[in-house]
Amino acid sequence: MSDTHLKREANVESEFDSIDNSESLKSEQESISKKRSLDEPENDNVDDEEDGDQNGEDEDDEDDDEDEDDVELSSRKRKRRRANQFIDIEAEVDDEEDDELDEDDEEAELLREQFISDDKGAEANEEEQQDDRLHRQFDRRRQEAEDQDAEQLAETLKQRYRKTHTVYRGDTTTSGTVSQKLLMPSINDPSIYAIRCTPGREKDLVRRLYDKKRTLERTNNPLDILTVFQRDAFRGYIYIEAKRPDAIDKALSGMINVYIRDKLLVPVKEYPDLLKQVKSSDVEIVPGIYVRITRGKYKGDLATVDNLSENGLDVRCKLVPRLDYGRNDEFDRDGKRIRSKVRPLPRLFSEQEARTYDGESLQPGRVARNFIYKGEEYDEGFLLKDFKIQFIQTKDVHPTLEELDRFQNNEEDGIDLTAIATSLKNKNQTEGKSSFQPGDKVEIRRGELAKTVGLVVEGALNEITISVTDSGDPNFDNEKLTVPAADLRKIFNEGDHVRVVEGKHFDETGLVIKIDGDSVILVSDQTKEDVRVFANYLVKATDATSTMNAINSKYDIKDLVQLNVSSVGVIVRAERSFYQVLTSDGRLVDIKPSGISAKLELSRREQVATDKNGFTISVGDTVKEVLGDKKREGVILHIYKNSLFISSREILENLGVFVTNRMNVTTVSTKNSMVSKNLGPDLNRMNPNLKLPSAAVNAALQTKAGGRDKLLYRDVAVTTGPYKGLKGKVVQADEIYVRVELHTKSKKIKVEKQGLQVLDRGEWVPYLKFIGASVEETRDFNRPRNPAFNSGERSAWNGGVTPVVGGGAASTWGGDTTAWSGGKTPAYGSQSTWGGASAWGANAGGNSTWGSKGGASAWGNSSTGGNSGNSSTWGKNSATSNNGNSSTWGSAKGGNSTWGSNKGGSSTWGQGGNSTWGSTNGGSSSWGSQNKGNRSSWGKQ
Amino acid sequence: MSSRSERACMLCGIIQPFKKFVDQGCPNCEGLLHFQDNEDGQVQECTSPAFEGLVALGSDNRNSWVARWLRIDSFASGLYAVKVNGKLPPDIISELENQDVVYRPRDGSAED
Repeated sequence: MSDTHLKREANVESEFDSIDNSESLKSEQESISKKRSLDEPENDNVDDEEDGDQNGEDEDDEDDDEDEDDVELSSRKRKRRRANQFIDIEAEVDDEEDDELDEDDEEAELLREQFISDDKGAEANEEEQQDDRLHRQFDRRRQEAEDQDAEQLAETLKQRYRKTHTVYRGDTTTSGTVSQKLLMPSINDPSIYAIRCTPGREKDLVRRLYDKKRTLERTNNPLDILTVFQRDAFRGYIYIEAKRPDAIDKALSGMINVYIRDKLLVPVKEYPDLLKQVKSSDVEIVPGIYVRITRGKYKGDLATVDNLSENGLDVRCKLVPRLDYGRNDEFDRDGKRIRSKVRPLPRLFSEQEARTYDGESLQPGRVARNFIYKGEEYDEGFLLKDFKIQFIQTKDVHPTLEELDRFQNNEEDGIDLTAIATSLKNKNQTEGKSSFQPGDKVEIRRGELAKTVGLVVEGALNEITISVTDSGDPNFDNEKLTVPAADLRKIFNEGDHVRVVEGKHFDETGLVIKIDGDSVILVSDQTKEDVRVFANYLVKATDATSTMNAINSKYDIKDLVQLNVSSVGVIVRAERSFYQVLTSDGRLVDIKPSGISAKLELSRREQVATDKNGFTISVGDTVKEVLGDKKREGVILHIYKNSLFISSREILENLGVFVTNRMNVTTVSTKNSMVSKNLGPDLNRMNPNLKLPSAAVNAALQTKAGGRDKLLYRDVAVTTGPYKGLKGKVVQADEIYVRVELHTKSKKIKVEKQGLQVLDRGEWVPYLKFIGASVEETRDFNRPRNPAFNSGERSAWNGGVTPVVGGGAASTWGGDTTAWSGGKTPAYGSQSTWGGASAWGANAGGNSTWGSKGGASAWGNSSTGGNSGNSSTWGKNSATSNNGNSSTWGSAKGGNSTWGSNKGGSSTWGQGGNSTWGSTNGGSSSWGSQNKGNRSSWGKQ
Repeated sequence: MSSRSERACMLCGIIQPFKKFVDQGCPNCEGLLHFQDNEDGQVQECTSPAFEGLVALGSDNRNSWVARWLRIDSFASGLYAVKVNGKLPPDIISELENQDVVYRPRDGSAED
């Protein structure tokens, strides 16, 4: 366009130059052309304007048409037109020509051609044919154009461009921006009515109302409503802005799904809330956030958003695939594959497994570590899959650590805390954990009232009421506002002393050194390091001291800790990330938790020392320093070698803990009893003759003396009484009885000690035997003897009897006895008479000696022992001895009966045995008979 | 979120089908964003399928507070979104700035 204009102008100039004769006219024109060159653009526009006006008045369409005509016309013609366009008549002629071209005869056409060619000729052949009327007209129009004031021009321009969508009518810097605050509604604004409707039909209704309004707009009965709107957050309502309520009735008449009776006038101050852009519960889907899948195979699985698709309807998620590579698939009879219904566990994609089990479905991807498997893309082990946006849950994601861990498998950059923070945002809100307290200075972070500053008046869960102090609008000050907690940010000033109330740096205090948006950088009082914390995690602190949460720490105050091989100390101060430790050499060191190698847990017995005077001191005793200038006094906390850590109530520093050498203190009082200092040194201790045995000896003695019953805590079996056969553990013991906690039922029974068998080294030993031989002494015998008896006893007996009865040969007996006596002796401990038993054993059948030696009485004991012990070995032992002891046996009636009862078949045996054995010599026959009568029972045993 | 194939202009917030943006452009922002027959994916970049809050705006909106609040009072009649997710690309924003046009994001991140 501008090209053509320039051309035109050039033509005009030349025309003027050539045409003009009169001096005055020429000068005038020159001045005009000068002016024109000065404000050329505007004039250009004016020209355009004129063109428009000439050709088709204000109809743009025609303007366009004309342009099109321009294009259609031959270049020759256009050139011609250009030359003549500036002149009114010419232009008109031109138009006419266009019109007439279609219908007029050739002659007319020719005539005009001629006329125009004349015109052309004028260009070349100078003035003559031109009359100055044209010039004057031209000048007049120019003058008119200049007279048009700028405002009008702007208006016309605006008018024109509005229709071609070329001017943006929104906020521009020239029109000035209006703060949202200044747009706050007033009572002069139209009312907004909330109208109930069928939930889910809101959008539909808005669209229909819009259509209705558009339809009626051009009629003489337009709808008198201004806007209709709907918000997803307010289900079941549409909102209509109108000046009069009857307009709404009119608008809604004939509409379905809307309940016109439920019409609520929205309070003016709630208007902004209705049109808020950000709902506090919204989590916008942006790459990187954590979401959950709500449908399909990955239902419930955590995913991160990788990207949003172009149309925004699909979300590309990265998640841990659940694949079994077809391993669990089965094939039916026709060879058809039956997909396994089992949901595989989430595991990262393994190229190797895919190749092994389902190689044909695997294709390499575009880059390394990228694969296409069964049409889905796997990148670095993760599945990249598009999900519909409606199948993605963004709220209440709550990723567990385990899930996050899976995502971190391949990434070194650690957990994306911001992403978690976004995901957790709602959690915090639902928990209603609010750190805003009355008096806090806050700023509104976002929304319509952003940057408004105020003081918290009261806070309730998620909503905080603030009193505005600075909003840019003085009228607004001191107004109470209720704002969601998430939209508030605390304001701190540099130099404020603050305490962290949430997060990693919980409970640290520090000085604010820099404010950086939502976060604040402070110098921690504890670590002396810069810490960056969310402003909302801070409260103003009044004191600098803080103590550590004991639950979180491994060490506690006053713990004795090992710092390194050579030094130990007591923690006297615990902060969040370091401890102050008073070491055994009296130094005070700050140390990080990692610098403490272990907590020393010495038993009470280990923490024993002697004081200057040789008194035993232990933890809990009160001692007093005798050396040094302060003469400190306190209770012993810990004893470590020669160092005493003493806690004093009078000292303030280090929690009152000081360290001193044990040789510097004297005992004031022990934990349990007072010791008078006036008694002086303990003479008993000083007496070398009374010197106590060393600890080692003591320990040995203790075990020897055995303060506690041997049976205690042993496993025992009851052999008599109603509980016979039951097993249990001894929990209490006295001289005669023990209390046994049964294994079978939770009951404690009281039984006689003698009616017990004790489990000793895996074997059941009768009580008497158990206590009769001390553990050390029996050791040698027990092992060889018992097996020997058990295995060979029965046969030895049977085999032993027969020779006795048959041939009376003592040799077998002797053999038996030796072995037996060996075992017997220890069992009876100190019984000297039993020493003779071996002798007796040697002379088999040496009854008199045996009997006279008081063996009977001993034997009586032994039989009871046998009864109580009741062990098969023992039983047989006694039987053996009985057999050898006929005469004694005969006389010992009491013993017999007990013994007999034990065996079951004793009476017959005893009776039969008595007489026969008593006579000794004729024993064989009667024994034989007795044998016969008894064999079965005996054999049974 | 709308499940239709409609999109909202990120600058003015008007809701139109994707095709209409391509065929006819945005009735308000065409002079700036040139959606019409733009092959460079201008519609994809400068309109968003994720929007919320449907506002029907008539042509006589001069007195409407809703329109003023949403800053659509000078725009053509149509359906507008209260919230449009997404922001214009930075190069477009700077281009707008050069033309003295203030871009106020409609995704709720505008601050003042």
